[in-house]
Amino acid sequence: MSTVKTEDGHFHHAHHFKNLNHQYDSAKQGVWLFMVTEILMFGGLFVAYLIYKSLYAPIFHVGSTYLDVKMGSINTVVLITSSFTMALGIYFNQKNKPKQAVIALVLTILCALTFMVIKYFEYSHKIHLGLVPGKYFNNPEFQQKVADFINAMPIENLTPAISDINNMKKIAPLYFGFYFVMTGLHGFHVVIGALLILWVTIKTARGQFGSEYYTPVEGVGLFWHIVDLIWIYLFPLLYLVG
Amino acid sequence: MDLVIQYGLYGIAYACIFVPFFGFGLGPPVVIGAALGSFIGNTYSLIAQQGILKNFIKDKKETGSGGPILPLLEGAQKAIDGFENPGSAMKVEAHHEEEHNHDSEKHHIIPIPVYVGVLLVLLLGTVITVAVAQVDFGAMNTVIAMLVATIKASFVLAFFMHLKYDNLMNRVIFGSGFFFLMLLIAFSAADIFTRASVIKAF
Repeated sequence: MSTVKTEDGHFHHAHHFKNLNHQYDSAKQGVWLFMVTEILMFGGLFVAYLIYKSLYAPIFHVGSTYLDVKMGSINTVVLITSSFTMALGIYFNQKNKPKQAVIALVLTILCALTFMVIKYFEYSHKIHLGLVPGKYFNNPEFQQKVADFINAMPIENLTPAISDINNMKKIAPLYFGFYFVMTGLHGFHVVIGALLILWVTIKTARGQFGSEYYTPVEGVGLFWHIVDLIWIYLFPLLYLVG
Repeated sequence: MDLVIQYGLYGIAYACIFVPFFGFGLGPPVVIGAALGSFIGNTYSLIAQQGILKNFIKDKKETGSGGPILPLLEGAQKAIDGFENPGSAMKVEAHHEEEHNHDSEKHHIIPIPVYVGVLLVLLLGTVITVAVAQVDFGAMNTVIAMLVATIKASFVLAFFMHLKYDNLMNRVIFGSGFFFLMLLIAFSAADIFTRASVIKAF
């Protein structure tokens, strides 16, 4: 490792840095650059969502009624709480309190697991109903609901894109394509984030961090908060505004 | 003052992007306003922080070619000094002290009550988002939800991600990422809203 604790309890910085602060700033800047790529990656999905929702709004409206707002809300609260405990994990490392830091980080991992368990129930429910993307979609009731919804719309609100009912029935699985890809990629980030937090928890428990050096905790924290940030936008877009 | 210039430029860029949405009645005044604001801020920072006026006065005094406006300029410089930093001499000292001790400089630690406050704001935001979604405001539902989400995101960025106390570089990195995302969204939206017929409400 480039940064190791010496016998007198201080930390050595890597030789190509001026001091520990310089090393911390450089590492953090790298993490921020990575965060920008994350934002742009999810940004592409959000733009795709914007375009398709503008064109085929009825599918998204009916689709959002198939999601469980209660489970989504609980997951939002769980993720926000985990962001809070993650911030506390960094705080206690800054204050040289490894015991409290480990507790906060373990709570963060537990929140991540809770999130994934709830996600599992949601996913298995959807898969059970045949609400999956592409050719595996098997839920005529959903397609019929989309058709009924369009038929009930005032004629002057119909646009060329949605007035072809048969085509709308055919592309109805679109919504679940967005749902599974966006929440799936996000869930993947939650799993990766939980593993990274486990890594810094173990390092904290071994006393390898302190107020002088806690860069990995800060970096993992930034990653975890970005995961929370993306969910803050995903939740209303998928569950609430149909 | 550097920040004012930075954000002024961002302001112009954002205003330019939003011109197609606001229509050309509202757009140009915003662009011109942002440009003028940045220009005034820029000039002020040149005078107040880089000491252009101070140097000018000094130069004229040395050569004795100031003429009758010199006392006036001196008065203006004094007023700016007083406004810019009341305890300027002390501040400069403290700043130098900081630079010397850069090696042992501690990172800004946000106290726990602030974190708790942010957590409460985020939970409140979630409650508002869910509550508002139960009421039908038509197209405004999306706008409100995105507005609340953006406020929540700002709190996460500023406090949980320490961006409020971070160095300028990290803020600019994040800002540029967000800026290019806005660019992507804005031009995609401009395309889809002008080319295809879009359902705005049911």
